[in-house]
Amino acid sequence: MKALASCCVHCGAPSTSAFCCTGCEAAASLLSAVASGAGSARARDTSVRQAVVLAVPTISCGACAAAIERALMPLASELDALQVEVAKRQVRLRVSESNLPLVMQTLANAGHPATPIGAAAKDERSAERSEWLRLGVAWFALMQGMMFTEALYWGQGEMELPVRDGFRWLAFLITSISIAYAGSPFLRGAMGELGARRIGMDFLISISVLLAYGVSVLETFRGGDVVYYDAALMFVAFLLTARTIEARATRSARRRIEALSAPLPETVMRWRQTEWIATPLAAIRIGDELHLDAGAVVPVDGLLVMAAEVDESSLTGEAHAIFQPAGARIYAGSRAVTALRVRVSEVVERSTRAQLARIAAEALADRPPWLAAGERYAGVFTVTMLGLAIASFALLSLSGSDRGLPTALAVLAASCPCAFALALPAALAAAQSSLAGAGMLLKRGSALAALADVHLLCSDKTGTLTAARSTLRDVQLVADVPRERVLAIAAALERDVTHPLAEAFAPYDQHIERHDHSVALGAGPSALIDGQRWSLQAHRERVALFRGEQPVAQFVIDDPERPGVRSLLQGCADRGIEVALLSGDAPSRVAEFAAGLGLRNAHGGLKPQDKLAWLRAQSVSTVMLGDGLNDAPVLAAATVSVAMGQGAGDAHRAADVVLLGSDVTKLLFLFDLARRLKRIVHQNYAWALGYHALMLPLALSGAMPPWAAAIGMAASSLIVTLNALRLRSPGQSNSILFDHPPLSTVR
Amino acid sequence: MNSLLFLLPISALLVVVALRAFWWAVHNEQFENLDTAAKSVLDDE
Repeated sequence: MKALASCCVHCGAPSTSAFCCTGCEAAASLLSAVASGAGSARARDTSVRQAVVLAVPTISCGACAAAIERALMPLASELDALQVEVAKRQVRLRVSESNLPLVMQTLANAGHPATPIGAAAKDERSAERSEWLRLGVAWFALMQGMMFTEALYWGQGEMELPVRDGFRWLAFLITSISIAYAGSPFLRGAMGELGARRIGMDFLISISVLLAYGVSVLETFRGGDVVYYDAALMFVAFLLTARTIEARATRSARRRIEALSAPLPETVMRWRQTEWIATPLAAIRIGDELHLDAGAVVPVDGLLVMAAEVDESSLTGEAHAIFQPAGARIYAGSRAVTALRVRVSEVVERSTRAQLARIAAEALADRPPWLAAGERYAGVFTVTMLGLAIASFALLSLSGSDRGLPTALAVLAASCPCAFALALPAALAAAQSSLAGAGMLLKRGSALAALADVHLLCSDKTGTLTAARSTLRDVQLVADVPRERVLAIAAALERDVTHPLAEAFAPYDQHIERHDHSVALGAGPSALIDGQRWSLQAHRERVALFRGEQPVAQFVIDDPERPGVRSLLQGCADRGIEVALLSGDAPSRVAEFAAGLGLRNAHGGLKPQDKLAWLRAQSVSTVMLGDGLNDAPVLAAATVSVAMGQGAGDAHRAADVVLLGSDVTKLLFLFDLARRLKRIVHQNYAWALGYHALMLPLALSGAMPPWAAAIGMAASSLIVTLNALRLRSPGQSNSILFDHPPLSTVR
Repeated sequence: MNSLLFLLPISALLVVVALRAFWWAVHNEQFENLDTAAKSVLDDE
């Protein structure tokens, strides 16, 4: 789309570039995409209204929805079908091409900048639509089918044969449609399971449905006594309903983990030589310079070109704008509070946001080992039940009873281990989504289960219980080097070092060149500067600067206690969790710090191997809190490890759980969630066991009709799913069947 | 039994109309957003 840039290509307003505003630019790109998708060359009529989906990342609660509706009120005659979706952070409406920029401008003026979104969202939408249609067809078919089969029951013996057969053929027609369309997810799932040579839920469900259907078709052809079309229809309708609710629940949990998931814009403004050019996100490369409007979601990782305010709350769960200086690193998924310019350092697919989603997915796949054993038992159980069903059918048929088929169907339905299979995964997914909302990243799923039984919290001191930002309190010069120079050299040595103490020197960095820089484990950094070897060494509670072997200066560093540490300790005491402090700092300093907090169990002067030995000597299961950078082996020795991050970029830290943010009291939420998870998983297993123990004897005895077993099966898996969903609410249970942000965020 | 001759077509017609209405509702996004309206009553404004 090349233009002699004197007026806007889209709206014709005077403009120095191809488009006068991002609104026009987005509208043009959206519509050219639509046109090329349609593959038609006909002239576009810009006054025809069409459906548009806008991503509006700033929507956070119902009040925002009301504000948006009010803001668009003056344009009411230009648009229709306006929907503000809080959970998806989207606005949908029908508007003409020529009015779309006006709508986007109005939204931006109201503080809700919007971006049109395309293909990916549409796919998900059409998948959700077929889900609804399947559900509708299943229930309509059930109602119609029941009309005929009920008539057949009541009219037994009195109905004329042609009428009876006519009714049966109608029921056959309806059932065929229901199974082929509404039941297709089960049939496809069963084929998949057969391909993988295992017997699972879908296989059992399909067998039950097809058995009831097949026998009925046979009886219809030979004019036999009874047909079971109603059983097949009920299986499909009830189980599809349970599955749909379950799918909605997992989808909403996934959405929360992904965003974390403000949808990304399709194009961004990129600087090329002399002007800003709208560029598709996929074409952005490392090193590009991008311009983002206030309110936009940052699509890539990068470095700020100019100072700006950034909101990382979607990643860290801590809602406040952070002022970032030029050169600061910002992360994909955060939001620009002021307009910002950023140099790309990681492209979209490799950005922090993508990593978070990947790590979250991997954590879900990680199951506790006892669960794998449980799944094997479930397989054996299923095969046994299949055998029992066949045996009861054979026995009853041989003995001349007509109860054979209904009994076998009931046994099949009652034996489906749906509730068992869902008990833990549903709870784990819900817990993970809850963690994501609080700004915690679960990297190993089984760690959460183990966390419920932890009674000893071991913590590092520097960077965990003390604030991440340490400051320089005093400098004592011991040689003839001036203070300025001493600080500049120390800062050069600590540049790019990840230890929290290094931050104290960052303000004094004058970018002196250094060579041969190295950091020995357990010692300070050293480097060649102007031909001399300089090093920093921790000396008691001080840090000393050496030139060769000669001390040059001593620094006293303030390492203040992190806000929230006291409530963490109090919270641990309330929960019966002991706290131990393991630090590599000088014992006197550790003792002083521990005394200030009222901590009795404190050990200073420990080298990493001492910490390891100390942890291994514990008989109870432990959780180790560290920074996940220099202490990875120590963290790995604890039952569960937790790393304190400082911001969104810390997802890579080596630990089972990473706190993305500086609030240490999140740990208490983690403990509570782990305990609730354990309780809910136990409840789910107890329910599933009790259900089977009650239903199987009833089904085997023939006292339960197949439809009742189908209701029981659907209800039991629903109960398990809903119970698991309670983990998504911050405290006590509330209704969370459908996705919405927790009520606590609604102000 | 002759009443069946019209009752059946009528019921079939009703099913077609109902399914068509449902299809329309799904495709006109009636089921896309089930919570915004439900929560709007919780708003102070």
